[in-house]
Amino acid sequence: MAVESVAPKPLTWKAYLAAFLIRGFTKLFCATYRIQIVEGADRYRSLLTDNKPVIVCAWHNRVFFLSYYLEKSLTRKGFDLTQMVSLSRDGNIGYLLGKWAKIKVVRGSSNRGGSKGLRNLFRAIHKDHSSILLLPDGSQGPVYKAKAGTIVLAQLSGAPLFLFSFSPDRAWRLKSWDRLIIPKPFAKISIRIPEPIQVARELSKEQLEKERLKLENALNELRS
Amino acid sequence: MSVEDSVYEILIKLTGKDRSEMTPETELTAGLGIDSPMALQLLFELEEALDIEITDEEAAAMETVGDVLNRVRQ
Repeated sequence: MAVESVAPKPLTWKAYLAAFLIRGFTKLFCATYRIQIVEGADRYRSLLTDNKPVIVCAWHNRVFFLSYYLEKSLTRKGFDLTQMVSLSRDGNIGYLLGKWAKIKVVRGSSNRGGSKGLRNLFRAIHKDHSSILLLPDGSQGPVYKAKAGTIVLAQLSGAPLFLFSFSPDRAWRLKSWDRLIIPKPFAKISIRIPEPIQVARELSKEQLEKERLKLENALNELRS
Repeated sequence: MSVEDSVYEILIKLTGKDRSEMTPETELTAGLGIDSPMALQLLFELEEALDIEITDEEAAAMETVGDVLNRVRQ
């Protein structure tokens, strides 16, 4: 079976320092934002009351504000959320940031069907009834191209894809592969959460690709 | 139930095929039609039913029913 075979890089003091600085910077900036949910506010609030696992999907370049907002509005209120973080050195920083934001973390990648990371995410939904945070174009891109692993997880678990996007009225874009979005201080941030996507359990290879494209297009429509 | 029986039971449940259609030489993808979601479920169910942990290296090496049996017998 086609799965990847790598181990996470060891955590170093540099990873702790970088994660600490990023977290401080994020909290400082995010405290100044004016945030409004312009679509799907009731849907978002229902996550806390429904107690049903969902797969929260957002493009990788939204992670700066996304992690802050999910922590503030969900995980600090007891919402059970698990995230997959890559095995790379950058992934180590994401691992620490996730843990500090009360997000459970499994290591791996969603590129391949049966990978350990994907199995652990499935286990988190199936056994712990945890929701999942997935960045479908992560961890290495290409940007705005969803990987099939997200659909495979939704297909097998039955958990709906809960799309999350935001647009700041002013922001910096870093020159990273994902062109990371950092909203400028005091930016107005508009959040959009459309109707969740339910993926059927039985799909042919062609239907799987259609569902992947549907997710990709839906997330891209939210960018505008 | 033996470990071997457990593996066949999982494969039968997953693929809908009869045990008589499976030999140790049967390929998981070409012979049993195991695709990405099924691979995820197969590995998950093997780990749960047999209380084992299958690494990505071991999973990557599983190409036939015999490979699966050899891994779970270890």
